[in-house]
Amino acid sequence: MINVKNWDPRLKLTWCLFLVLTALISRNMVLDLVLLLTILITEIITEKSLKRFKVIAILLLIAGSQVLIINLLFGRVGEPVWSWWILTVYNGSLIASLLGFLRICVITISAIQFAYNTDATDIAQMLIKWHIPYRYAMLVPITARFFPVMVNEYHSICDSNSARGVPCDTVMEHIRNLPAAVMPLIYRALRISNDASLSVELRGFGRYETRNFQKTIGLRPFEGIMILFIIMMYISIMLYIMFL
Amino acid sequence: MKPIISIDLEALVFPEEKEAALKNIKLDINQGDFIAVTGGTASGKSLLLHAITSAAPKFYPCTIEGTVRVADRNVEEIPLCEMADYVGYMMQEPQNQMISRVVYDELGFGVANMNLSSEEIQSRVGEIMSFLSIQDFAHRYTDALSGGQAQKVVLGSILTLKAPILLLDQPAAELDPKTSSELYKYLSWLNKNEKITTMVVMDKSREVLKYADRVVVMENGTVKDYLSTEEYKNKYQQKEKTRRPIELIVDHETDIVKLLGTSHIYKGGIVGCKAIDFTLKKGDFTAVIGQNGSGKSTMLKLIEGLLKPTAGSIELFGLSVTKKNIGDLRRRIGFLFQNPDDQIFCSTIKEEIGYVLKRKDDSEAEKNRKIQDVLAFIGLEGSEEVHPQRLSRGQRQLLALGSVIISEPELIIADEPTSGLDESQSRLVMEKLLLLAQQGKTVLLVTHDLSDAKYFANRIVVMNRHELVLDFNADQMDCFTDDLIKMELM
Repeated sequence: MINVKNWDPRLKLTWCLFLVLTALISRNMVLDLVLLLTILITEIITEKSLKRFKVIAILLLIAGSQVLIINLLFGRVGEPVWSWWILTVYNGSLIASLLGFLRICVITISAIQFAYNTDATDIAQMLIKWHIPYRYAMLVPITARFFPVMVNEYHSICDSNSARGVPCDTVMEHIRNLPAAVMPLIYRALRISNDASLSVELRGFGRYETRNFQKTIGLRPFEGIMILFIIMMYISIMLYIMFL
Repeated sequence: MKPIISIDLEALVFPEEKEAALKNIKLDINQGDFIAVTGGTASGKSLLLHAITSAAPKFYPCTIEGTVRVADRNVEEIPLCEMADYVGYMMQEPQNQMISRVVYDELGFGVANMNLSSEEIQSRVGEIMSFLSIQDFAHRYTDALSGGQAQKVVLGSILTLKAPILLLDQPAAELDPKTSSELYKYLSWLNKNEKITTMVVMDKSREVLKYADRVVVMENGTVKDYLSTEEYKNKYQQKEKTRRPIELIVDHETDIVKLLGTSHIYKGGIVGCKAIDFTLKKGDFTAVIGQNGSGKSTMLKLIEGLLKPTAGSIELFGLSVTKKNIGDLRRRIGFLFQNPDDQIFCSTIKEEIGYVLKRKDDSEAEKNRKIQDVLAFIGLEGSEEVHPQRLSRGQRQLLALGSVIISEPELIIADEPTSGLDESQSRLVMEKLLLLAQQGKTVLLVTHDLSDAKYFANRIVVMNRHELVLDFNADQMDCFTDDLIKMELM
């Protein structure tokens, strides 16, 4: 297994941006499909599994079905293929839906791949390299810590609601009972962020202009070459799309 | 000798409050003192620590008349981020204070802010890790730590700062007796050997009194007494709780809960509890005790149906638990969680208490009567329209109890309901649970506090390393002292 986590975050960001930007400028379903397959293949090479995309795949399918419904109802591209009362379905809608769905998939999955493979402190380091003050750069690792804490809080609130007769077992029940979970979650979030910010200040955060992160990032030659290669590949695709 | 902390406060008033939250406090603390701070609910203990760190008024806006000096400097002149040179401050709820993803980074967070060299940071963190025996989880994620581990990590991250003053707000509130005793021994060692001035807000275990030199007693925002520990014990400490004769009518024929060889293994193979055989009779007040991670909470969650057994069976009210009947059986159980804030989600006390009644067909008059009865029971009558978050933690725990008992459950399960509460608040909650048991409810309590178990319950069950190892009547506790000591529960 290749340890992508040790790679420079700038290389991973360039790769992610390449995928996202290419998907955005692409008007070709084949290209989008190639991009999606590229992400999945790189994932299999590096992780030997697609397990971490399981949840997002379900959400993407839901989003895709919505895109399809909206396009079929309101799309007016191509030839009419089916008509009933005031509804007319055009053949271009199907293509537009698939293109939209693939784009969403590429953008979402590449962002998730970047987030999974990049340590939050590495992102902070990257921002510091770009001369962003460490007080702001540190917000990234702080958020990364905050997120699982809030997920744990949400689960304990659900357990507690469930014990009071508010069922929280299925996805639908979770959605239905969201209002009952949101208020305590907000209170907990406010309390945690309040305590955390005081604790951070009282441990000297922001006192000096710099901070010893005990770790710095630096581009290795092969990473620099890879970045250049990705940029050139993007420019080539862009020119191909523009002039074809 | 000049005091290291000198407080001369006439008043500390929060905006839009008429009453001063702290008033007329004159207190000098010398270097190397070990001070315990105690007092009733909302007496100003935590606020006093906030004032010393200057978090009040710099973080919590308020007006202050008077001065607080630390190491002969007025704290008003010291920016909050410079306070780390003087004070290491650990607040309640350790999970809220951690901001790094990994334990090692959390321990080094403060020293990294001080811009020390990497070698110095590694040496300080390594030293503290071995001292607190936390090397084993140095690379674990902070959100996966137990309450006790989190408390050690937060304490460690403060100790790496090597500040001359330590301010700790109920540092052992979530710890079992063994870990709590270890923590106080360590604090005492630091105090004696490193001359670190230590101020600790006392939790209900009173363990700190073994090591403290003096005790600050607070009442209504002022220092009522500043006594030596001996004087305090003579004046305030109640006689050792003796077992009170509890008259509970237990129906030995009716099983409320029956676990037969019940086990639960979490994802990843982590054992929750294994092969539990346990029966709870109608009208029993049973306390489950055990160290952190012994499987107590897992057992409760299995009974409540929040977890499914991976082996064995569960019977509730004489019925085998199935997916079909779990909803109906659950309605007959009231579950009181450790953290009341997980259980409170309405904007008024009345709404909170009456939440479960929304699903019932009772008339409005009947619903109101029930709400008033419960409010009277928990002592919050007249506060119907108050927002729950304006209550103290003890009151919020009582409110959570009220929201549980309004549906008249036959079984009340309470998972460490007094954790994080001071002695007076915790007694209030326990008294209410006892009253419910005396009214014929069956109560299953999980607690770290052996004296609560001995004083309030009629039966004690001990869990150790995920197994149920002892089960005896509370009045026979003295016969099991050796076993409890062996399991480091005493």
